[in-house]
This record gives sequence, C-alpha cells and structure tokens, in this order.
Amino acid sequence: MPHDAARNKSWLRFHRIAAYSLLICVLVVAGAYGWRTLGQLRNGISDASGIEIESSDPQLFVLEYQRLRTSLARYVAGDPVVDHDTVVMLFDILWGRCETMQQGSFYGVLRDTIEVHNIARDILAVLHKTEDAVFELERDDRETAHAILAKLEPFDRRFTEYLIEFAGHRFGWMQEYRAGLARMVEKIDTLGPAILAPALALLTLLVFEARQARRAEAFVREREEESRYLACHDSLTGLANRVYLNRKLGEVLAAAARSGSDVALFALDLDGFKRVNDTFGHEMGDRLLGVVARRLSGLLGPNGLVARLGGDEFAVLMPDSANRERENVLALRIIASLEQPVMLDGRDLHVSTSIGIARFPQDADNVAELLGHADVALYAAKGEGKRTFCRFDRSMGEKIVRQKLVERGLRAALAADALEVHYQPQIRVADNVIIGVEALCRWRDPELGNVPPDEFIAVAEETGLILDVGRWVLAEVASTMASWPEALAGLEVAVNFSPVQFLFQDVCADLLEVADTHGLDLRRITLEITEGAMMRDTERTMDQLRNLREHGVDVAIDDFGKGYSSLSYLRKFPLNQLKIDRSFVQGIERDAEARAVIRGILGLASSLGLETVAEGVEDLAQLAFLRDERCTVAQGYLFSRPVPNEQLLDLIDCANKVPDGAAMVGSGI
Amino acid sequence: MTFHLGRRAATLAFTLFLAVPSLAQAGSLPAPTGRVLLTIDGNIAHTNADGKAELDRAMLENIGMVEIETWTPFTEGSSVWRGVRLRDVMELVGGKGGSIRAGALDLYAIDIPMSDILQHDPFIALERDGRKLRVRDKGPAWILYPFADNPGLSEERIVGRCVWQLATITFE
Repeated sequence: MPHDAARNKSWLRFHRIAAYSLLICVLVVAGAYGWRTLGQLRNGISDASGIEIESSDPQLFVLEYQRLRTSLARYVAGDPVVDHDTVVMLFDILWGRCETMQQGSFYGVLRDTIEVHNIARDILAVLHKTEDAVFELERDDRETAHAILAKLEPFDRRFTEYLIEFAGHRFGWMQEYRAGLARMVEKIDTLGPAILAPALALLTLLVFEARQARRAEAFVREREEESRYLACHDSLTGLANRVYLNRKLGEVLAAAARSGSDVALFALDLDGFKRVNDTFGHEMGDRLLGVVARRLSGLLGPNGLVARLGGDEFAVLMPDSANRERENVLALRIIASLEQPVMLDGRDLHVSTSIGIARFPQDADNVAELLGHADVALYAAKGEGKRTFCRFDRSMGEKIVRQKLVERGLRAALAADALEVHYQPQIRVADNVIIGVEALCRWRDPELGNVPPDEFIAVAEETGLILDVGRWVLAEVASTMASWPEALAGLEVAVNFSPVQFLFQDVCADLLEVADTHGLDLRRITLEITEGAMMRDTERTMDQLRNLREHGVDVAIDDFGKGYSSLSYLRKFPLNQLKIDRSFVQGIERDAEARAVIRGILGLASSLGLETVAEGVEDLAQLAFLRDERCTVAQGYLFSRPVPNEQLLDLIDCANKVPDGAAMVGSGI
Repeated sequence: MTFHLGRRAATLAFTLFLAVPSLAQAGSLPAPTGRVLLTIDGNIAHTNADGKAELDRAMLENIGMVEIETWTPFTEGSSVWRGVRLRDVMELVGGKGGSIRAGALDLYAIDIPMSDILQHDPFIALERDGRKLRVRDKGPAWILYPFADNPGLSEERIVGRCVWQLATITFE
C-alpha cells in the first residue's frame, strides 16, 4: 500500500509538472503571438500616418504648379503685387518640388501611383527648357510668357486625371488599411482568450494546489496535534504525563510568581498496587489505574490538573491554592476515595494511597524542587504508616537525603561485597559457657563511615534491598561456619531475618539451599525475627516458620516486649526462644517495673517451654539478677561486643584455655 | 546723503531700462544690406524693422556658421551641411516663447516646440557640401535636425518640422 501511494504521488507530481510546463508554453506562445500582432498593429498605424503626410504632396504639387502659372500671367499683365523675383522664386519652388516628386522615396499610396513621377519628370523638362526665358522675362514680354504657359497647359488634364486616380488609390488603400486593422483587431480578440484561457487554467491549477497544500497542512497540523497530545498524555489513563506536568508547572509557577499566589502539588502513589499487579496480572493493574485516574479527575475541580508520572505514581496540581484547609480536605477525600474497593471482573481490589504535599513558594522556588519536595513528603507519609498525607517540611529533606545516600552506599556495598558480619557471643547463664553467637551485619561506608545497623536496615527494608542483604548475610554466615575449626562445631548461630523477607522470599527454601551449598547443619541455626514479622501476613509467615522448624531451625523472637506483644502469637507460632529486649535488661538495677517485666517474660517462657536470651547485659549485677530469675542465656558487652570472625576465634580459644574465665565454649560440655 | 541719492538714480535708470526693452533696443539690429532671407517676428527683443527682424545672408553668417555632417530623410547619402543653429538665431533676436512657427516660401508652415530647439539643437542649413542652397534645392534656408547624432529623430513628427525654403519664424 505505501508503495502504491508513493507511485501515485510521483505520478501526480509528474502530471503536475507537465501541466505547468504546458500552460507556461501556451502562455509564452500566446504572448509571442500577441507581441507580433501588436507589432503589426503599430506598423499599420505608422503606415496610416505615412498616408496622412505624403498624401498632401500631390495637392501641394498641383498648387505650386498653379501658383507659377498664375504669377506668370499676372506679371506680364502688369499686376504690381507680382514682381520678377516672385516669379523666379515660384519657378524655383516648382523646380524643387518636381525634383522631390521625381526622386523622392515614396511609400504608402504614392508608391502605387507612378503617374506623379512622370508628371514631375515632364514638368521638370519644361522648366529646364524655359529656365532662361523665365529668368529674363520682361513685364511686357507677353508673347514669351504665353509660350511658357502654353507649354505648361497640358499638365492641367494630367493633374486632374492623376488626382482622380490618386483619390481612388487612396480610397482602396484606406479600405485595405481598414481591413488590415480589422484583421488585427480580430487577432487581438482571439489573443484575449488565447492568453486568458491558459492564464485561467494556470490560476485554477494554482488555486487547486493551494487548496491541496492547505489540506495537507491541516492534515499535518492534525497529526502534530495528535502527537503533541500523545507526547503530553499518558496513553493508559488519558491523564497528563510527566512531560506535560513539568511544562505546566513551569507556566503555573511563573504565573504564581507574578501574581503572588500559591501553588500546591500533591505526589501520590498507590499502596498495594504491586500486589494487585503480581496477583492478577498487568492487564488488571492497568484497568485499576484507569479507575484510579477517573476517581482522581472526578475529585478535582476544573482548575486542578491530575497527571500520571508513571507506574502507580500520580500528581495533582492545584494552581492558585490559597487555602491549606481545602488542600487537606482534598487530600483526605482522595485517600478515602481510593480506599473504596475497585470491582473488576467480579473481584474487589483493594489499594490505598499516601500523599505528599509541597507548596510554592513556601517549600520550593522551582519546578524540580517542588516535585522533589512533594516526593519527600510522600516518602514521609508512607513512613507514617500510609493512608495518610504529609506536608513537606525542611527537616524531611535532610532525612531523605541521608536515606538516599545510605541507599546508594548500601547498593554499592552489596555490589562490592563490602558488608561484614560480626559475631556476638551468647553465654549460658548457668555456667558462663559460650554456647552460641548472634550474627550481626555491619557496614562501614568509605564516605559515610560506620552506618548504624538500625539505620541501614531500615533503609534496606524500605527499598527492598533487605532481600539482598539477608541473602548475603546468610551466605556469609554459612561459609564462615564451614570454615570454623572442629572446636567451634557445636556453636549455634542466630541470624536476623526481616519481616520483609518472609513477605517476598521463601526463607526456608533459601536456608535449605545455603545449607546444601555449604554443608551446614540447619539445627545450628536460630532464626531471629521481630514481632512485626508475625503481624504481617501471618499465614504466609507461619507456614514458613513451621517449615523451618521441621528442618530443625530454631526460631527466636527478637526484642520481645518492646512492640505490640500479643500473647496469642506466642501460642500460635512455632517458637523456641524469646529474646528479652535490652531496654528491660538495662533497667534491672533501678527500675522495678523492668524487673517485673523480665520476671513475667521468664515465667511465661518457662511455662511455654521456651528458652530465654537476655540482650544488652553490661554488668555483673544484671547477670546476677538474670541468673537468679533463671534466664537461660545472656548476651552483651559484659562478655564481648560483636567481633569479626578472626577475633571470635581468638576469643573462644582464650575462653577455652582459661577454664575459670568468664566464658567457656559450650561444645566443651 | 549724496551717495544715497546717486544710488537711487542709478536704480531708477536700471528699472526704466528693464521696463521698456523694445524701446531701448529698437533698431539694435543693423538693417539688412542684401536680400532678406529670413524674417523673424513675434515675441522678440531685438528688431530692425516694425516689430520684425529682417536677416540677410551676411547677418545670418555673422551669427556663427556651424558645420554638421548628417544624412536626412530627404537626401541621399550623408552630406556636410553649413548653417546656423536655431538656438543662436533665437539669441540674436532675443526670442522667447513656448514654440516657434516656421513658414516656407511655398506657404508651408508648422510649429516647432521650444523643447525641440533646446533638446535636439536643430539648425538652419544654408549650404550643402560646399554649395549654397537654391530655392530649387529646398533653400535658401532649410531647418534640419542632426539626424546622424540621434536616429530616433527620423520619426514623422520631427521630419514634418524640417521646413525647407524657410522664409519666416514667429516666436509664439
């Protein structure tokens, strides 16, 4: 088809060129023809003026002939007015005239009337013969005068005859001339259409071409508008896209700066959208986005603008937004509206949204900053537990920047294998023997220095990097354990797992794979999770924990008593161990409540048949209390800080060589 | 004071001189001694008869003869013509006006616009190739244009102004 179109086009172009060439040729020919005709007309008119001038010559000739005759007659008759000089002058005039008429170059009518030449010749002959007589003529010499007159006499008849002939010729010539002019006028008449027709055709062609061009232009413009629309709109939802939002923001901010008004920008993303996408497929996800787009548009007045920035990210622009309360109301309405389940294919889909709000000029003074700060606020809103909105404030910015730095550094560290695992010994309280270690991830960034685990683990959890970190730690621990000497073979290792790992990974499968790779006995592994892990998606987490237990992995609850401790979890989950949060341990000496809590936990654990590990033990008094209350294991700076693997070996060597020391390796028992 | 009066008198005399030029100039041209070839009348400053200037051959030749080589529509080949410029004749008689009327012995007459005289410099031919023009040779005086200098002059309108057997000129 396009080939045909191209051929059609070139065919058209060829015909167009041919048509133009033809018309221009016709015009040129018609023009040349017209030019020639006008030239002929000009010559004809010039001929006519020739007749006018020359045609008076025969009459003047006759007149001068008559004047000579009259003057001769009057001279000899004694007329005083006519003297001899006059006669001679008139004789000479006639002489000159005769010569002129005889030899003059004639055109027009005179050319056709030869007789006048003959008359002039014959009169001149007479003048030659009578010249002396005339020049010497006396007043009383009538005889000579009459003789001369007699010689001139015959020319009367010849002149008369000639004038009649001349008049006839002149008439005929005029007829012919008139006919010629008529012919030329006719030619000019035909010239009109001859020039007009191709000129009109040319004009028509040009008009046609102009219309074609205009139509083509309209077509192109339509295309351009279409592509401009496409460039500015998100094809999935029909909302404005990021490009358009950026441009619009530029305009709106410039206008707001001039008029001194405020602009509010909402950054939104959907919580739970990824799950919909993963569970029901992209097609469903796209349809969900369409519904979200419609809801957002419906909530916003005509002045606002909703844009989709990509994925599940949206933005709402409110130009000239003077009222913060109104923004709050809109944000709450958006949150409420998007929380309503979406019915697609008989399924109720649930998503929610978090919103970050930044304002111009209070929070930012340019487009990029406004967008960035709205994002920061969104981040903060998500941190505050989602389904809420947050306004940007300056301190957020710093926090986010730090988080971004940490995130970037962590990625680099993972790629460069630059994380480390340190091990903190766990001591059996009954006999001070080291029975295990807790593996703790440590990271020293070349730029940021030592980043506290709380900070980078939090960032890792938010960004999903925790999955990689967790996998890396597990592999590191496994290979380290494999490298341990026989003396440490009985040492148990506690590894921390993030709740996120349970949500997105099959922790059990990972562990089995690692154990397989490194020849690890899973019974030596204690898996530490926080209470939060049990609260999220409990079924999925519980299945995995159960599975792990079946493979001999111990399960410990970390930081027990710190968060929302639900006793029902303790019963429901397949646990082995409770780790008493350090805040209680550190309160032992001065806080009766802390002591009471510890007693409670220990009692609970004992009755449920769980081991107890006290964290953060720093002095002997704490250890004594724990021993009295029958806590099974203790861990803390009293014994050792977390140390690298090499130091761990020294530490344990040392403990083994000094039997009365603070600690001994459990395997020795 | 004396000086002042003297200047007034001089101014008065000058004014009178300008006011009656014909009076002051009457007879300023010498009378012709030979046969009169050309009679000039009309708006002219210098005369030698009753409002007319009658010029004989010698007077014309005194204006200053010029020699012009040209062809004409009336003669065959190129000839050397001697005569006086119409412009010089005009100066001699102090002629003024928009045009002159040139009349011939055979009573032919035609107007020649002043612009022609200034622009194309026509002359009154008296001799052709060293021979005086006779009446029968379209003389004794013949107004001609320098056709050779400007071929465009051979159009009918100009040709009609070539008055042969020139006898009178009237400044109009």
